[in-house]
Amino acid sequence: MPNDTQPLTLEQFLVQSEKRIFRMAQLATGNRDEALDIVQDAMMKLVQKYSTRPASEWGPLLYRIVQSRITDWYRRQRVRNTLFAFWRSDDNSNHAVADNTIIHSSPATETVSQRNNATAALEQALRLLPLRQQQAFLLRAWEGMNTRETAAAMSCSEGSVKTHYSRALKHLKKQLGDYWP
Amino acid sequence: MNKDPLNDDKLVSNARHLLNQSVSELDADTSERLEAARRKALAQTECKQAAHRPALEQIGNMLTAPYAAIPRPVAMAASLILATGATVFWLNQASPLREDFVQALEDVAMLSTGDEPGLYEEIDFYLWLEGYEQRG
Repeated sequence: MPNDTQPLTLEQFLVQSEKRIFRMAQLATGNRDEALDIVQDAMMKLVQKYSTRPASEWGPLLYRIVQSRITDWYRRQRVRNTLFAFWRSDDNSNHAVADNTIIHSSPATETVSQRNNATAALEQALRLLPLRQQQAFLLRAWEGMNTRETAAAMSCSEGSVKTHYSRALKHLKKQLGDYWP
Repeated sequence: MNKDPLNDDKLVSNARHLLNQSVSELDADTSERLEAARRKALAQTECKQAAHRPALEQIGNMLTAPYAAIPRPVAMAASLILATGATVFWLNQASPLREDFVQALEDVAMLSTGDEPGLYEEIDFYLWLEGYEQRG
């Protein structure tokens, strides 16, 4: 996050932020390449449109762009999955889509038990959350944003943020209770 | 950031710790691709700055671009020759202003010698007289 004594250059800011926003996008999409595309788009947009803005505004702007891109991706995937589901039902196939880019696709339970570590459990639990809850949790709990900043990044009201965050915590506690007693 | 009771929750602190750890342990390939994406994005600012150069500079570049292949010494010599030619041409022009200026300089020279103005009014006569005496 920004240095108190000297404002960051845009490059320094991106160096600090790129891995974190990548992880957010990866958790949302469940796919590394999709996440990299989202990060690339977000950085392009930030540089293109907001590079002349004060450094203190880059953080909220970047998170807002990333969340917007993730939401767009989510909508596209929903349409695609609806079409795939229709196609497969015509084929009388009851198999689930194997593509790991499906909305909130989660690793198989066996994989989690094999890896058996808290990180894998957390990732799975986060992926099982509805997108808005996941975003609210990551921005509030991980990035340390307050309710107002989170609402700005998610383009919603502060009340919605509180609701999403509260529900996310409830679900995560339920999911991770065995790992984090 | 606002203090929030939920931040003290063990779940939140554990999640934050694990997520931070996962960021620091990203594989090399992903890190390289992120770096490449960053460089590509930042390259836009250089293009943007080039696009906003002063119009005069761009016009100058457009005018000189066709001659960029000419070696610098040749270009300097050609410039010198052109400048000399233009000066000579200008000096040979019968400009009323220049004639007035030369006449004024001659007047100043005559007045500064201390001779009688009549001498210069009858200069042709005195020149003939001098030649006649030398011949005679």
